[in-house]
Amino acid sequence: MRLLEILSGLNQAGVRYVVIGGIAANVQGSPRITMDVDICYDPEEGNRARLAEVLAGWHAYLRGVEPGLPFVMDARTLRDVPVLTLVTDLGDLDVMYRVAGVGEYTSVEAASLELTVLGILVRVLALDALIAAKRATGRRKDQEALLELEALREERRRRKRL
Amino acid sequence: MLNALTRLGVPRNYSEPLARRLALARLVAETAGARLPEAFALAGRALADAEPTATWRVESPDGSVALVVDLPRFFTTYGAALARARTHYGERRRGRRPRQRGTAVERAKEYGIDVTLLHSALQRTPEQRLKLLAEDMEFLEEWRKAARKAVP
Repeated sequence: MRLLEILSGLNQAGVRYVVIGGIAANVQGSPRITMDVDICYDPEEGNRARLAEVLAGWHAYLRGVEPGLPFVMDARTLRDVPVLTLVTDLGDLDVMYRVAGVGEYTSVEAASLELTVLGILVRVLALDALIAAKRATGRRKDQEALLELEALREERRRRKRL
Repeated sequence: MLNALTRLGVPRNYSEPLARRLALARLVAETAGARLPEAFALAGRALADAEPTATWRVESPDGSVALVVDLPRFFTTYGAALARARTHYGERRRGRRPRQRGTAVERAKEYGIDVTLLHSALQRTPEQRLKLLAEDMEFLEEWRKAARKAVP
């Protein structure tokens, strides 16, 4: 997984997005290591077209689906499918335009924070919104992560730091 | 799903090819207003006869009505739904959340979470955490590659 290449590639193409999921949790202080990148993107037409072009350039294909099934990676697919789980030349990447428990892209962006890592500007979902998203999924596998994130929030409040 | 299979008189041996045919049948039924058994028959023909990377066209006997199916587009949306089901499926927890006792840190400890890892992560800045994660991901990927080579 070439995380920084993915982020810089999206930035260079001018894609508006927020990093969510395991990477956002890690940035907030979760010790879990994740091997895929989850992003929520702005579904505005131009942004969708830019994202589709980048993903096509990385030879995005459906993760968990046998090779050979026709797959069109374009802006229309992004419009028609709310969540795409993909494997790309740079690693596994999940893209969506809304996050359960948080809402549409505008709410996701409002609930994010901006940081710069090695010169790459990146928006990540903040801890309260991550907790809301984990609660909304209601999956068993997320329960442990939810307990951890809630403990993290308490600890951060106690220390008064990010 | 089971109701649809019963209506169609299809054995309840749910498989991926059957899911594919049902997905196309549902689309044809909803879009063209066809009855489900007719749509299911049409979907079967389309998937059996047509080139998956092209459009499939069928006409009424007098040629006055035509149905055109964009198969690459269908396979894209169907495949995306299949990928999501396979990668994100998880049993949903039902009912109320259990009553919460103690602080969040106490609950996490009781569950078995090593909170000392949280403490050490909080010593770093968000930028340091992301940089470290990126390095860890690349490192683990190299380990995975090595493991794949070592285990034939």
